[in-house]
Amino acid sequence: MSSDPIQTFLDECGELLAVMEDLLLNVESNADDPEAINTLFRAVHTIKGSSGVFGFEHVVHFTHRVESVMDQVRAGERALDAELAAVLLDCRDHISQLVELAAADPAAALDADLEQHGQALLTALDGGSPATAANAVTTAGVVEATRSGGGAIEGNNWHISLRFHADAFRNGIDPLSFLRYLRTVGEVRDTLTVTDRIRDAQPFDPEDCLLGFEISLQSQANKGEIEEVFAFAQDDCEIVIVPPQSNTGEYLALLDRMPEDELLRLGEMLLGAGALTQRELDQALAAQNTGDQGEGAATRPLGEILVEQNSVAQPVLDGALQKQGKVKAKLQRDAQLIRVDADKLGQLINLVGELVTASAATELLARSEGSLLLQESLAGMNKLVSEIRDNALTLRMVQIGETFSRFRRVVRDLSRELGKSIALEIDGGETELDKTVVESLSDPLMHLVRNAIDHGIEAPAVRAAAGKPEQGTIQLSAYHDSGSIVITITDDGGGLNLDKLRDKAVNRGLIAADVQLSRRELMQLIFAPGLSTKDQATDLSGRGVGMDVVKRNIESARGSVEIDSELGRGTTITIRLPLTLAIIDGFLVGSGNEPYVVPLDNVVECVELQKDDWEVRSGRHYVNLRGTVLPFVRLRELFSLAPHGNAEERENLVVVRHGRELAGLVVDRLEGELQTVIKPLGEMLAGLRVVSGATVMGNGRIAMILDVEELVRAASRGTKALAPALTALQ
Amino acid sequence: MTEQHTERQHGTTGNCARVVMDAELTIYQAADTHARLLATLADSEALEIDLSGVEEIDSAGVQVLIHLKESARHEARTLRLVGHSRPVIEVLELVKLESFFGDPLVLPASDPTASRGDGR
Repeated sequence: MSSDPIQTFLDECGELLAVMEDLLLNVESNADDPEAINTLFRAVHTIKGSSGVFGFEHVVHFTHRVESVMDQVRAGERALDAELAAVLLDCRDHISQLVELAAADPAAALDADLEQHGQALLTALDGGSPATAANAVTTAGVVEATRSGGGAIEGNNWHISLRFHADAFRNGIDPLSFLRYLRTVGEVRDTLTVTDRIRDAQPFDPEDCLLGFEISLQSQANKGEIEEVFAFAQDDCEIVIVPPQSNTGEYLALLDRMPEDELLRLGEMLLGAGALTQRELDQALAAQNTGDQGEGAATRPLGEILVEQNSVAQPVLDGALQKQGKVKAKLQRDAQLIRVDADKLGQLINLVGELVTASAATELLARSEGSLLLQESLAGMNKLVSEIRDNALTLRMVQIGETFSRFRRVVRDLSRELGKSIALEIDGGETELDKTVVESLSDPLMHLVRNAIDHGIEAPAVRAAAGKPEQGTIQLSAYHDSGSIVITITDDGGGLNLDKLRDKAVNRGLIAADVQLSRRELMQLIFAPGLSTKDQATDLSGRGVGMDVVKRNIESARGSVEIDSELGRGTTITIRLPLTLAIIDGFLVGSGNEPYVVPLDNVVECVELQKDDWEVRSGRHYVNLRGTVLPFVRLRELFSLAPHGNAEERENLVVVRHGRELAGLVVDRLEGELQTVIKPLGEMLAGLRVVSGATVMGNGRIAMILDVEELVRAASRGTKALAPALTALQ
Repeated sequence: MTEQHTERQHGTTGNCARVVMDAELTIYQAADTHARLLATLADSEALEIDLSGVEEIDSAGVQVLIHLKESARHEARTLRLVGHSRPVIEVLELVKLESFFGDPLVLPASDPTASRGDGR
């Protein structure tokens, strides 16, 4: 957790704003979902609350009005239609701006433009609302009270008891700011400042916080909402909030509105809803304890006793039990999270990498010593090491859904700007991948989605004329496939015009006019620098500087990108990335005197190579593998290695797979599995295509990690005869 | 910690000290201010603190005043707060300590800038 409260606040705001955006963009599916609307309300409410604590007046003022509207929606007084969602979305952006400004300089005045923009938004917000009166922040409690129908209820006073810790000032807490903010939640009826600790301090240190307050508050807010006022003081203050006596009729509503972030016991819940007094509860608990003490007899449920005692009405009890079940379910869903510094995780993963290398060295030593006991114990340890490795790597795994969701906004805004109608479908958002990989993915994805919106999907009229639905669809999907994550961006737009692409490529001198290229090869030309099929460049894309950058970015993360398109039908772009950039399971092979590592996930099988099965034709090699033709490369030839002993006689074929393609690697020796810590190659070797990294083995030797994608390509094209077009691409 | 511009004037009636507070009475000055005022109080039968120039007061500032008041009571000395500026009044109302200090509150002129310096 960050120690700077403002930074924590900004992080939290960012998350809440993202949640708001997501919900608002999905308004069609969420409009009737009370959970979603409640989440929206709470997001606005929390931002208001935290801003109040920091004294960000502009944010508080603005969010308060938005909150009021959300409250109406929540109460069913106003419908969350597309129009309101659009305004709220703009409000969200406005809040985001205000928060940024306030965090930079809390005292800064709003500039006229921003002020005006805010006013315009508020007017728009009040547009369809029956209650258009400007609800000043200080009257919040009163407004809510009149709306609840029963009129303000006497005896509805909360009692709040605060005792700040000595270190509160040093931690940047100013108790007064909480008292000020409390006024926006309700009406403070009375405040008693407890001065005993100040008087009795021996000696008195003016920098110790010895303040305490007893506050009587009239408010329609629930306990959670009042507690949130003090959210930033939680670590520096003893907080006791005693709920008011309340009307029987409101118990159920109160129960329903109780915060769902902690699992309360039944008694606590009823107490919190005001349905039960502490005295009644104590009485019931006593009855429960003294009741059945018989052997094996189950204790009577507390609820039963309470009803019997006439303390609680049956429907209220049922409501509470139902609520309890809901909270339990929710807590199970979002297990507790801890914020951890990404650097710390990075360090951990580096250490685990070193551990893997060290344990490999130990194992080697044990083998050469020939101690069976030691080897046995090491085998157990290795199992644990690989479990630690896997666990450490999963710590850094994040779901890709969040990255995908960001594009909802992009699609919505850009399609509107271009006068197109586009739906975004997201599939496989729960697919996990390494955080560092996500980062390298976000720019290329943005580019590809923009491309799809701008070049891919046609204008509605064009689509209608082509007999397609006017609304275009862009689909983002993700899934795991043999140690990689595969992400596809599919649109049902116009597709690539291959003839046009070919013409352009010839014009730019990327390919010779007479060269024969397959459909697939032609399509990959789109990734060549300086090529764009769009006749006219727009603001968004089409300047022909994009796709080659996308390709480069993805390849620098050891990934690959491919395009498949059909004219008039649409385009699919497939990105393949390794799940993690740090440690993999490798398969160690030897060729000549050199060790090489093939990522185990890419290995399909190993077979002994029969001399009769090979065929060498025009520089390409093929092998007959159980009747199918498999291209292969011989590592010894690829790396120009000296033959190792009598190598010609015994060779092994490792069948590897990348995506749908298979190829063979001919090696001299198979040496088994190996946990591989990937070390990047230095600048000098960064241009090497078939090697993606290096690893230090247990015996201290360095093994190259082979890039299977490149090897498969090399095998199917023949190692030496690369087509000119592909040279241009590389 | 910055040096404060607290002035000390010895009044005519017996041993009565008068201190004019600086613009800020916050955690940053709390230790310093407290030490000075406590020392002044120890030398005097009565201490009058002029708050008219206070533009900013926080919890630590209030706490210093509370402690001085309690100390004065304990040693049977007099502590008077005078010329409360708007921010001081706002804070005292917030924590409902007007009667604890027991000093009459005079609302300064409605223009808050005019209250600075001559609200007594």
